[in-house]
Amino acid sequence: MKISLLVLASPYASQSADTAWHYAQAAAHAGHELYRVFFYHEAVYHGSRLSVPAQDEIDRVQRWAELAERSGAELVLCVASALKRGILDDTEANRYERGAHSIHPAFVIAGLGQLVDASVHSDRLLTFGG
Amino acid sequence: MVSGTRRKILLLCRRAPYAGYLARAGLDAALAAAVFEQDLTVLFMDEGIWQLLPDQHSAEIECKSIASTLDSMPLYDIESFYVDAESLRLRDVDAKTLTSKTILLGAAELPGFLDSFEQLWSF
Amino acid sequence: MFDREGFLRNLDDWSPQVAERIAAAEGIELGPAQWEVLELLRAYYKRFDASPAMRALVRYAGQELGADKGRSIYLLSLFPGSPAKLGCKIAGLPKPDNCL
Repeated sequence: MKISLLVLASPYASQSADTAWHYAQAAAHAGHELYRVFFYHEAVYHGSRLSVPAQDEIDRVQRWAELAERSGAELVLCVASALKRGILDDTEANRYERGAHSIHPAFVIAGLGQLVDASVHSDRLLTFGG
Repeated sequence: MVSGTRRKILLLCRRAPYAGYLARAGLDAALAAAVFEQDLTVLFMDEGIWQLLPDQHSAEIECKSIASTLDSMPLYDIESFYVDAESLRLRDVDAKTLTSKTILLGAAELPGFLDSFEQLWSF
Repeated sequence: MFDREGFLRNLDDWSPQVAERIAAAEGIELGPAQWEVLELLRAYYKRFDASPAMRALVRYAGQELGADKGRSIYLLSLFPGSPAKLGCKIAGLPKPDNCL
């Protein structure tokens, strides 16, 4: 099956975000196609390249990047949510003259249209953190 | 980008209007689905029912009005909202006091209703 | 005063004169028909606390200005390309479809 995820919770503030990752991992392992993971609202913090977890803590940003690499899933951050929380790519950093980009390279910034696209093209779409 | 299939989506709104920004995020997602021609229905449940109350005066807490967004939804072809009757009863809210056109769903109707959708966006 | 896309940084800086400036920069001449839509957009924003997406603008124009003006083709004739976005820029409103 083609599966997409809608993640709403931020990485270090909720169990739901971890559940999302474990679900994605299990789905990929079971042979399903992970189409897209759409990070919306507070979940956009998953896409920060500036996050520095403690040495004995799970790197919640990196493990999504690795999962995407293994599974081919696209990791998308919602543009409006990301901008106001300071997660910017080069284009946005230049557009708004912020001087630096902060997005982890495994993620892309896009609009809610990509959530709708994921909905249209996936057999299942699950929400985590709602 | 988005073509062909038209999904039957249920947007589940379970959070109070100004308890964080999740309520706002849910409604923005609804408008996006509408703009991309999807068949989206909205159900208010649990704390989400508070979004339907009038006289929100959200400017006083420096927030954009959820009520205003709900008022604009008919312009996006979302003409009415479903409301979980039990959520209203538990909070002692009279359906007649709610703004917008609402359709009450009883407890017995809820499972079948939820099942009738292809996907659930839960906010 | 303007961001890189030509939108006002501070919406309080808007005035009809500023609208003329923005319109001129976009190559649009503001006649009564354009002004009617600009005022419509500002009314929409005042009522709904948001800028309209194109489909909502078409519907709203139909409601408020009559069925013959509630058509994409009419709005496109006044503000070519993206009437909601261009109209909001000239009307001193936030970019619509911010998240689309």
